[in-house]
Amino acid sequence: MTEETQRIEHDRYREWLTLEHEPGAALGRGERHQLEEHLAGCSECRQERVALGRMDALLTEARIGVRAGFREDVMRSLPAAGWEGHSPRSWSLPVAVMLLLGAAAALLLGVHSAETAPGLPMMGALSAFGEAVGTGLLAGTGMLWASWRGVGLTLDSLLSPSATVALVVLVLCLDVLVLSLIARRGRSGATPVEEQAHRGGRSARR
Amino acid sequence: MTPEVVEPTDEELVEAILQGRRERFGDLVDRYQGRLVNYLYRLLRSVEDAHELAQEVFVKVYQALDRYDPRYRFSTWIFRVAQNAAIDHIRKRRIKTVSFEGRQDADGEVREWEPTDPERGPYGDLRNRERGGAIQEAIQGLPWEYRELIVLRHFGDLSYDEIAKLKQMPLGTVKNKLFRARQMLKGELSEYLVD
Repeated sequence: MTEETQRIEHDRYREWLTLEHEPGAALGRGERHQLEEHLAGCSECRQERVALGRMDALLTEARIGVRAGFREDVMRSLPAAGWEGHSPRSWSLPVAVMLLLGAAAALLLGVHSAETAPGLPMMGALSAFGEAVGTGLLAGTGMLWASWRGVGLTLDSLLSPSATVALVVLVLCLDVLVLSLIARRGRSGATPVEEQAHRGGRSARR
Repeated sequence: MTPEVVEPTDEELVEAILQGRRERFGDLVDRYQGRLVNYLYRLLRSVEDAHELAQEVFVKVYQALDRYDPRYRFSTWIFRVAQNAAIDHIRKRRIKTVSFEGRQDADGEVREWEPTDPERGPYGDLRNRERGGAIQEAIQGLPWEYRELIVLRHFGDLSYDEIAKLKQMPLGTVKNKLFRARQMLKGELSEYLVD
């Protein structure tokens, strides 16, 4: 085994030493056995183990106590309507309401169509419902088309073609600006302390 | 033979609270108060601020309890809320989070490293106060990415797995960073680690 390989092996065991007492990242039985074997013949790692143990104890000792009455303070400061004031947790109530409204609408349509077409009340109801949906879609599409058309006509009458192109370019630039600001805000919102700390880290090193 | 008492999990406590047992929130406070106060204290370096902010975190968590997704761990969720609260707090107060000259706050006022009241902290005598200062300084001297993990592990008591989930990092990265962080800390605290 070369010196370099030995060093890599040695570093691996040092890393395992930090994992020795970690429940979430526990070493396997085989790894533990290997570690113990290595420790038996490596005084440097034995010292490392002792030092790590002392450091963990030091950090544990450095914890502060919670002030007396903290729990009571928290319980007193809970709002009377905390999560209780929010919208319902499940969709069951809204769905039930929608179903109820749908049933009422179907009933009304059925009654109405029974009056107008006594032979086929259900078909009449479905046809009336289909017509209502179709009319709604047509009206929506028409309004959308008309509004864009209206905007187009207005711009056409107010601006020359080159001005219209300039306006479109301006709108696109504004879009890009807004999107980049949103993206920047998102990035800085994710790790502001890290950024601050990196700045601080640099000043510390200086 | 006495029957073994099984403590409810965090998720079960949340469920009980959502079913109207508001007083069970106190159990969650009991479980997390020490961990949160210590975590926040190491980030904010003020005992008062840490307590104040921990209280705010509990209130925020309570208010949003119905939005907690039990598929994820409660500990990860509450620490994420605490982390965001600390970030906001640091922004507002403009505390220099990393500084070897960190004994002064943004206004130049000298701050105590550790609580002076022995009832509230372990540093009653001068030697212990020195040691407390050295620990704080060593932690503050770590680069942020390492410091945050050390604070989460040793003061927030989060497992490697929980840290990985909270920080959205692979478990291997957390292991590696914590290994490096401990090596750095060990170097800084070497004089306290010998007989």
